[in-house]
Amino acid sequence: MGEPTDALLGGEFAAYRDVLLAAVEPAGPTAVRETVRRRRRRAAITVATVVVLAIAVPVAGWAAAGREAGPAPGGTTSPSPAPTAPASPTPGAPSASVTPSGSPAAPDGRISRAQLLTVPLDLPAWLPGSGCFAGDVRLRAAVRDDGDVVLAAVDYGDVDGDGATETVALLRCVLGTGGPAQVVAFDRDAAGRIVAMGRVVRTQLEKPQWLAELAVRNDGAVRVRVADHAPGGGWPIEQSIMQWRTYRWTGDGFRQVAGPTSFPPNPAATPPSTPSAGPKTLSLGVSATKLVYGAPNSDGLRRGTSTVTVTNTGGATVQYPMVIMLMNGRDDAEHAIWPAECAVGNFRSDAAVCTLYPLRPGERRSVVLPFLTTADGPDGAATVEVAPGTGDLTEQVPGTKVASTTYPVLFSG
Amino acid sequence: MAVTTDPRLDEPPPRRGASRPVARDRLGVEFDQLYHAHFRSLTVQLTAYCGDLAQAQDLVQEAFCRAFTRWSAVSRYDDPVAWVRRVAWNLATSRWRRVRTAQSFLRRQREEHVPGPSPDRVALHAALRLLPPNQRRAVVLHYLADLSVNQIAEQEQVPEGTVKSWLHRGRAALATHLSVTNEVTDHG
Repeated sequence: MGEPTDALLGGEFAAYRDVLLAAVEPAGPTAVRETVRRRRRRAAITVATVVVLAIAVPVAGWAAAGREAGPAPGGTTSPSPAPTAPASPTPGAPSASVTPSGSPAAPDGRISRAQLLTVPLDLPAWLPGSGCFAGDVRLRAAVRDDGDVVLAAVDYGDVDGDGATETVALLRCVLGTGGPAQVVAFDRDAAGRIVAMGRVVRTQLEKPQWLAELAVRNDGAVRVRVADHAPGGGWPIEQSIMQWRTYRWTGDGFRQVAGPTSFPPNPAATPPSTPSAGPKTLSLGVSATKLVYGAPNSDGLRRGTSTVTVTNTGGATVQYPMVIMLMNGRDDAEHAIWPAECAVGNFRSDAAVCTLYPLRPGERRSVVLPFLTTADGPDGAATVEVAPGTGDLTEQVPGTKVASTTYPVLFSG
Repeated sequence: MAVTTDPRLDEPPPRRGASRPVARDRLGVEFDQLYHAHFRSLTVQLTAYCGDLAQAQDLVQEAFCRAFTRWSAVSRYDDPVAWVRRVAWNLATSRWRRVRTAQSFLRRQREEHVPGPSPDRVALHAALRLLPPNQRRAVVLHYLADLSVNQIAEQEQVPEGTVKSWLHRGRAALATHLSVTNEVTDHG
């Protein structure tokens, strides 16, 4: 972009800033303090209520209160909560009269499944680039939406050896048929609020792609059963190599202390017909549904989606399958709301490129891609291409072919 | 085990090595200074992005609330403002969370009683609305937050090339929209 444009825009923004600066009315830092104080009070009351009326409190009302008391944000710079040096052992359980159900006192780190599902939590970071939120997350018992974090398993034990019980949970962020997972240890802070102590282990893009189950040993070590490949997309979990790995709290995090630290090659992952000496072929196929634009929104833009299905037709895993939406002057990829299957979004001068997570041989994945347009018609067609990428922006793996398909673009309303 | 990530408000977090009263005063002053120094400019950025001054004020206020909740940690960051800014933008761009901010009630009151200077009269405000959200974020962070491409890439967790592309397209689109607006104004 040339300098005249930059100067023009710089001036416009400066004028805009001046108008707005005068209009802003800060509520003030005192209001911040009052809000935080009110929320803390409410949080404390809420926790006390749960201890006394563990069964009687309706979950819905609780959830509403807990949400307002929501803890800190999803800023990825926020460090994981760090525990203080071990304090004196937590005093014993409260008197039986206040805990008729036998649920433990607030300072204890035994957090029931129901309680974990009730309040928004700050989690350790997910696999970078996965698109999953770690801050202010509500865990779900079952998946409802893409991006939901499902509480898959819970176990208890004294993982830090302080005499009190902590909670260890297996969490899955569900994205389509996959998504990252992690095992997280939870505890309570002095105010009784649930906080994440730290991450035991998480899935990787390569291996392990799947965390199957967990168990806390009597000595506080956490055992996690990990698998090299995640099930789904035609891959049965029986074909995955499973390993038990053992982790231990070290004072500021978890470290693996036993079990294998890597996976052997998985015979099922390499096609038997491919001779090991020859190059493995990288090849993708593509199909796409028609794109139908609806009536213009209030912003004057029409929107629609096309479902693009990418299939690995080659003999090797494609690490960076690129879905390449060629620009045609009419259909603009609304990349701001690209689905989580697009691990990376990039632009070429002639196309928008959504890079998917790895595709194994024979695996197929569908992704719903949103478009917007300023046009009102007429109906036409558009082209989408797929190609194996190198992982570096939109670069294609040399020697591989581009596959493409053309789909109808229709205007309705 | 008791984890203290979140000191009670009436017992502000002590800084290591400092006696509590001193630490409390200094932390409190630092927070107030940060608030006063950055509330307005952050609100301007968020308004340019989400198109609504009152909502932007709520988001920034909420971000400062969250900063205050963990101020003992945030204040130690190299750039606490970056933390607040990122949180405010996260709140503004979140697809899954609907934030009920502390100020929503005040906002309704304000809308009814205080018209104030309206950003709607500035052509840029309307032109920004026409940009896809990612391009809008990029140009706002560039022109109003004065962030470099590198800093924007960091905040948005995308490659620098992606930010350059957003900026390039966003600027071109804005220039087009603005020149059209100016022509209309000139002739009208």
